[in-house]
Amino acid sequence: MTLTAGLEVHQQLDCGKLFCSCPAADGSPDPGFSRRLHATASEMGQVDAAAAAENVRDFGYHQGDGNCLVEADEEPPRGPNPEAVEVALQVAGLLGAQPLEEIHFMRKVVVDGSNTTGFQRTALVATGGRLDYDGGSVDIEQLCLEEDSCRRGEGEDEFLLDRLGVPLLEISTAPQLHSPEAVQAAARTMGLLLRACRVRRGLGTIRQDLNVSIPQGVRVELKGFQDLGTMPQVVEREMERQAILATVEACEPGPAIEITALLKKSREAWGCRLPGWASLLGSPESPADHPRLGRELADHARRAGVAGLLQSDELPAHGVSAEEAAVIATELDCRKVDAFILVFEKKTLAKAALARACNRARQGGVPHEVRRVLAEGGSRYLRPMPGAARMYPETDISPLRLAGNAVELPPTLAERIAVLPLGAQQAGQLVRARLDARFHALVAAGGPPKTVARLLLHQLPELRKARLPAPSEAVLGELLAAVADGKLAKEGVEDALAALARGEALPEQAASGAGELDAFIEQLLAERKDFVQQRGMEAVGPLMGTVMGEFRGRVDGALVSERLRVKLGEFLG
Amino acid sequence: MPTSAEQFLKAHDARLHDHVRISAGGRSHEGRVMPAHRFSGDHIVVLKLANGYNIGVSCEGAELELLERAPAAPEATAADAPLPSDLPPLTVLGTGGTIASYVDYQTGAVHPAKSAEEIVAAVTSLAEIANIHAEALLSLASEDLRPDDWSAIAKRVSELHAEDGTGVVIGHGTDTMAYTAAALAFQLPALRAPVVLTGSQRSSDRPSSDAHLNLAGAARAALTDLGEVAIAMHASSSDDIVAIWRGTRARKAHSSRRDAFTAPNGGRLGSVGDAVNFDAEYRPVANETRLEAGFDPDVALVWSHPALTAGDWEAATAGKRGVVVAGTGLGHIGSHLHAAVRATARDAVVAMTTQCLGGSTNLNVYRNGRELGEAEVVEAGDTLPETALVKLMWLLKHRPDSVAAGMGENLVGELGSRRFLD
Ligand SMILES: [Zn+2]
Repeated sequence: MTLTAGLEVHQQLDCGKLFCSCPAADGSPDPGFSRRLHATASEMGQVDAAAAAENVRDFGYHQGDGNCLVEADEEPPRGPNPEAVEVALQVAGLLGAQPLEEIHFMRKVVVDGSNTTGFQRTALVATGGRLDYDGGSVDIEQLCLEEDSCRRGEGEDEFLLDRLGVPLLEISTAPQLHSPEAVQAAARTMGLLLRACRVRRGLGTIRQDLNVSIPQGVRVELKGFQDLGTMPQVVEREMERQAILATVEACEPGPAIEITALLKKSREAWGCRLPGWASLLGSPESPADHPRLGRELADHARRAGVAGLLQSDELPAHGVSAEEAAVIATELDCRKVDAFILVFEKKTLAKAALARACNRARQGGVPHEVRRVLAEGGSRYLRPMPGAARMYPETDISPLRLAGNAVELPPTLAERIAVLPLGAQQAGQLVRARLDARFHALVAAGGPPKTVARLLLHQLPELRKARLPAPSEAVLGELLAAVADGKLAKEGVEDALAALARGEALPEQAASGAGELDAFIEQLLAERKDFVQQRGMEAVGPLMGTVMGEFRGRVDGALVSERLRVKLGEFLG
Repeated sequence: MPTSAEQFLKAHDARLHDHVRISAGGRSHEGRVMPAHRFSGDHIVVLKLANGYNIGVSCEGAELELLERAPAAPEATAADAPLPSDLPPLTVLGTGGTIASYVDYQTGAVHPAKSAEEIVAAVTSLAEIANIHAEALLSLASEDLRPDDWSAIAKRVSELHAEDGTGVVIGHGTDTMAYTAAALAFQLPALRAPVVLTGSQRSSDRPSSDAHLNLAGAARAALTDLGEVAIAMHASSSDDIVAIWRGTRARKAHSSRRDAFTAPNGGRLGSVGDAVNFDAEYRPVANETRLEAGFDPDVALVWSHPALTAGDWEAATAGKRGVVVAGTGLGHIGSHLHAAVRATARDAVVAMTTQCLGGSTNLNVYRNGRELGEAEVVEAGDTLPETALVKLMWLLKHRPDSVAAGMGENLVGELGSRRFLD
């Protein structure tokens, strides 16, 4: 089974918000306001299918303290943030994508509540380019600069404003990835490449979507991958799903008919016939390779606001007997090969729900749609694939000229790792933790590279973990200079940091340390006279432990060993 | 003069919405030709790509290949929903403004161009409230409305009321909505049916437009027995409640928020959720609508401030028949200007208001005020400066013999004798 997949990476940038002066900070769930959103037509006069599929309803927004009127859609946007444009151009440069002459911010209509405006502002910034990953390469189709949407709140249709407006780069590759592993490798490489630039780090700051199709299927967008590790598994599940559904033929459902009178229990019910779909709908007992179209139809019906639907494959159940099912089938004009679906609601709502389910049935096995990735690896219907009709110009932002706007490309992570005078592992750790600039500064101030690396990667984080204050960069410089001058043993850095954190001065044991060491060794040799004479120069090893026990952290081990040898030689004559 | 991009398109016989390929320097873009943006570069052709994005492509040294002519424009699908007969009739009168505005893709700006019918078609909830008759009277941005337009609106409202006595909702730009509301209130001192102005702070081409709720709220308010000119706009940032404000008391107090309107000295008449709730006394509808249209616009509004000179005063008020002063505090203006004010007051009516966001004038409290009072400056009390301006223009036209006295009287709810703690 051949896979064709394109990757879409969304990366948050670390430079404040795109259209206002707010910081991109996590906000608090303060009570905010509620809004309704109405699908609008594009400048070409069309309404997008995905937008039209949303009901007009109340959305709740939690304002938080980090947001201004722009996020609340109570003030026109400003910008775009020039730093965000610069980062976008840097990423374009690193991918070999060519910026456009002039960019136009568009409004991408999204009326699911995730944007207070009802649209996401986005601009196509660059096209072309290529990403080389371990085992292959993939063409870059486009790079867009857009605003991030709201975070979801606790309740259905509740949102938090803190993430809204954070600059987001959307990078789309061509559909040239042909194995789940290639998808994962490309995503991983893209992530590393992005980290060369000012991007946000941490949970949720980079998100991957996938466009997946197999020869028999159609393009399906998968959204919301939890992590790159599960990506191959999710892709495989989607390939299987498409393969199972690809054989299903579309059907033209019958009309919605009221069947209330056919039921013993008095509740209003409507149903319609699905020609040729008998046994395709499935039940909870259906095997793993069953199309389970009943669940797909229910996911669509729910968008109208019903709790779900009942379908012929699962009957008798839910208070509908086998006899009733037979009568309903007759009333709906079902043949043996036909299935039917039922909705227990009042006329308007029932008809709306059936219309949505029937619309799904008309699309056959694999519709062109957006699906949300589930935690256990599968996916559920999210919305129809949005099209070009959802875009119209953002009139509050003027076009922006990019021609002649050259940016300096930042070094890639690999380049930054290569210039560090350290082993590959340590160098990689420093760069990934974005500590390399600080490393260079401290080494330039005289710190020995290995000591600086250990300081940045281990000792300072330990201090932070112990909730102790870190010394200033100047004091760190002094401490490292003391190590470089041999005044402080590199083993003594930890104790020195602890002393500094306690508010004590940088320990001074340079000269005194050496004198004290010699005196201690002489005394030790005298005490262990018999042992020393018995072992000769081989006594160095055992004695080393005793001396280090006394001087660890104060005097360098190499110096201890050297003095011990000298004094032992003298002692043995 | 055509831009180089326009010349380029013309030279290649490419027209608006044609599908073209523009190539230069080994790079090419395919898309539909879109109207140039006013702030685009002179040599930039705007293309809409297949994925919906618009981009700017330079025509310098470029080649254009015409791929396909623009498809014929789709027939305008007018929403001709049959009028449900059991709903009450209502007229929506369009005057322009954001509520009636759509994106002008030529300039890229929001433009008041659409008809009242199109507003009504866009706001589907209106069809569930009333049988709407829509009419476009004007198509002006709020800041472009002049006193003559106030008269035109008042005349049309009076005609509509005379015809069938149904309520009128007026779609209006928000910037000067309060001026128009006050102007209608003075010109229409008795109403046979409600007159409710409404607008929007977010244009109706946006999914988040406040036009939906505002129009629905205004329509419901216009189906009551409210006999005063009112403004109906968002009560808060949320899309839930519409506040009803007395037309002579409302002020646009925020430049961009949905709940832009307030009434500093009281004047919130009620609110509209699913139903209308009046929580203040109001004048109910009369047997017929009375019209006294027109203004004498020869009135100045002077904002008192510490650097104001006698020269400034004279430049602003010379030859005027009336002057409204937005005084500081209880209605003051620097004592160095008293002589100039006194001189003006000999030939013109000078009315004192306060520039404070709330409260009334009182010229008796301070010496500065008493001296002004002796200069025959008339106190407008807690009348808002902008309402006082409209009132003075109306009085000069319709009560020329008792202008000064009129400024001190409450005619249509614009002047209160008491103010309250919230
Ligand atoms: Zn903000």
